[in-house]
Amino acid sequence: MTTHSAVSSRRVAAGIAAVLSGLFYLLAVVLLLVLCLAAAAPFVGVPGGGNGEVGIPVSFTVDDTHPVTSPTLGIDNARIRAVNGTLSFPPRAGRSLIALWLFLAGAIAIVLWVTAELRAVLRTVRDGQPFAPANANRVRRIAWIVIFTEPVRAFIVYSSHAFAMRNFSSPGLHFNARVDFNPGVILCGLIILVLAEIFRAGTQLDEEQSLTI
Amino acid sequence: MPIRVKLDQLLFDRRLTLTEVADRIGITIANLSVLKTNKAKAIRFSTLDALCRELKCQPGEILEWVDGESE
Repeated sequence: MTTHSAVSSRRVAAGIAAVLSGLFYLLAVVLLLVLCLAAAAPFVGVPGGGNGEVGIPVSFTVDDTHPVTSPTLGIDNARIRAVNGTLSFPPRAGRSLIALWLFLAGAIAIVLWVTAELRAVLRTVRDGQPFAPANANRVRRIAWIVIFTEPVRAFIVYSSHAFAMRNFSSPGLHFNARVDFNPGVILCGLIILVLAEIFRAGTQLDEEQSLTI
Repeated sequence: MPIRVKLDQLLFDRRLTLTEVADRIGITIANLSVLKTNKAKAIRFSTLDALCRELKCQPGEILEWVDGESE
């Protein structure tokens, strides 16, 4: 690597590190705020008073009494089969509200942790030692987090669908519970896992190189 | 590592210090120490050439193969 490209790549790493640092501190503040709201939820409810609402993901079908047509395409019998949306409602103060805040806090904590790991990796790149042994483990942990959060997310979304199906109704809408699993996220996690193994091989090569006199 | 570096013996025979040799052949004392203590995984021909030139010896006098010592 030439001196110019080495300097350029370090500047890019420094730039990305700055963005990640900003994101890290922002998430930390938001997490702290959410935890405070969770602690205060039994007493104060949703910020904003009576106009506050929470939104949960829902899935529903629409009755055939809502025909869909397209005069421009000459279609007069289109149907909406499945809809994913967000159901907003004013929550009741209590355990359900605390659970929502804690769930949000958990999600933010996971993103915060991944951001911290990425910052640590970029710190080694900026210091000119990207093949530190710890980096392979950091990238591997990020990969497993990405892989495992998708089924957890799918389960939470399914639970939310089921909650709406049990507790809400609307004329012409039929709430249902669908599994919303995205295999693409698993593929991304596997790609990161492969990159972690490449990183590990690079660490071994770097170690051998450093012990070649 | 089955290959042992007999640098300490050569330095003693020629009454040279690690610092002097490191300065003369242009590698750091730390790296020469890694070589001397048999922690190195490989040696470049250029380094071997510099050592032989400075210590006035053959590569076989610096390196020794010892049977039975494996990683």
